[in-house]
Amino acid sequence: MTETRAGPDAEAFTLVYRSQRDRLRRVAYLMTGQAAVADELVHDAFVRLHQRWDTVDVPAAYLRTTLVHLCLAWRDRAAMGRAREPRSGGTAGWVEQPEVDETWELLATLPRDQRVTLVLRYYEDLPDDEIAQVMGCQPATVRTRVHRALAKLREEMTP
Amino acid sequence: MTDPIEEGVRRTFTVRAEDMAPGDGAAGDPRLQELLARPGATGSGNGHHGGPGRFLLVAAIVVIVGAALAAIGVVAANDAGDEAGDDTGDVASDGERTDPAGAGLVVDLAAQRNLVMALQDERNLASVDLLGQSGIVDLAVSDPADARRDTDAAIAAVQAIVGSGQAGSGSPLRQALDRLAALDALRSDVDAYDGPRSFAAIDLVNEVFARYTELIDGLIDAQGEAALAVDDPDLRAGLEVHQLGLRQQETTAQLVRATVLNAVEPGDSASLTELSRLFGLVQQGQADLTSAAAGTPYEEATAAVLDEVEASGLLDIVATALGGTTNLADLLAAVELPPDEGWLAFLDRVEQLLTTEG
Repeated sequence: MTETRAGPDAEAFTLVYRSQRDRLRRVAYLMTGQAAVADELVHDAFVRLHQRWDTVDVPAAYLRTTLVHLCLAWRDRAAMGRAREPRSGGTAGWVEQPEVDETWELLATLPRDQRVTLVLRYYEDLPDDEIAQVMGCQPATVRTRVHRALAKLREEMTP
Repeated sequence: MTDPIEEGVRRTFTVRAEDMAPGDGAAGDPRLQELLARPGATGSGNGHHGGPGRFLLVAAIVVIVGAALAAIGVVAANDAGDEAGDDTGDVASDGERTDPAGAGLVVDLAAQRNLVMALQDERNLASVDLLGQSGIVDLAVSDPADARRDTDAAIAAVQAIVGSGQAGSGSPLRQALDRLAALDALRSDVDAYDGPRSFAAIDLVNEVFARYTELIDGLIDAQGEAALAVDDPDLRAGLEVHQLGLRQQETTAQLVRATVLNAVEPGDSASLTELSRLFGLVQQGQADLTSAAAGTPYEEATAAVLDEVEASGLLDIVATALGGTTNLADLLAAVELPPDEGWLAFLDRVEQLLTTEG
């Protein structure tokens, strides 16, 4: 009933993995706010790429779209009351940046789709049309989500 | 001038992204090693179309889809029809109504719900029939002519409500009924298909499904718009909750179908996007329902149905499907709820509460 195929070429897959993994981990972390979850979702995205290697034309685009969907779908049952994760590294060491911390905590209060949209626009620097394609919505919806998210942040941060 | 909030967001992302230290060199990455050690992907149709294996898989999946859709909607459609008939009879024969607003509302809602479900039955049956699986899937309505007669009867019942003056000429319900004029052309297109009743008809099946869904969506949306015009806050809340529940029932049916189709078409970005969209809609719908029912007589019933949905594991199964693994047996089990659970039982309960609230 089904056929087994050889799977992706190890060298080609490793090349994609090396070039995409770290960036995807950062994107997933910004979208979910949790490093461990980010690692798991990125791994899931690569698993899916491995499964569908023969049908994927542009692995990088496929990985990003898949990761976005995984981040949107991820359901954190233990989210309530979870302590904020400590910083896991970074080459600059810990530097006191209260405005960054405040913004980061406010981002955690946004609806998931708004947060994901902000990451795609302000970290990935994608145009609205491309964000819409990745998230499976209309460009107008992208602009609405950005507007609402920034309005919420502005409201909370205005003294 | 640069928006300081936008700049703050951009800077926050740049700074916090550094929290994720670069991983180990790829050569020593255990996750990469695990991926490379995986066997070649199994599955039908990846990059290939046709072939006997794929058709067998699709046939099996169609059975599951039909049964899953039936479990969500069909049985209670018949019950809702009986309720609507009984209520109409009681109201007509009652010289005086003790709760005129409530009983009338329940009759209206039950009739509208019955019409939505009749269209769902017709949609499901057309889809299954075009794929040549109608003898395999056990639907409560098995004959297309019967399904269409049920729909026509349901349309007539709602038209009677509109004709009685309860809905003005510009009312959302009247407009939704007007749009049902497209049903004749849709039925004609289904009847005109003379190709093989098999997976070869999948494009038509998808088109037919979408056209029926558009009509169903119009009716459900009309309920929501009508609710906004009700002054009494508890009655308005009841109508909103009922409409949101009906919307969740329909969206859940679409979600189940999309999950199965995504499993059949792995690697298809359109099916993945659609599944993700519907998953988001279901989750948002739950949040909207919780908000609408808060502090109203419908809060307890709403909490109960959401607990039942959670316990069924359906959303966990879909979330896993988005990650690449779909267990169709689990999916089918998740939608086969007892008659006193799930969205249809919830709608019954809301209609019952509306009767006592009137």
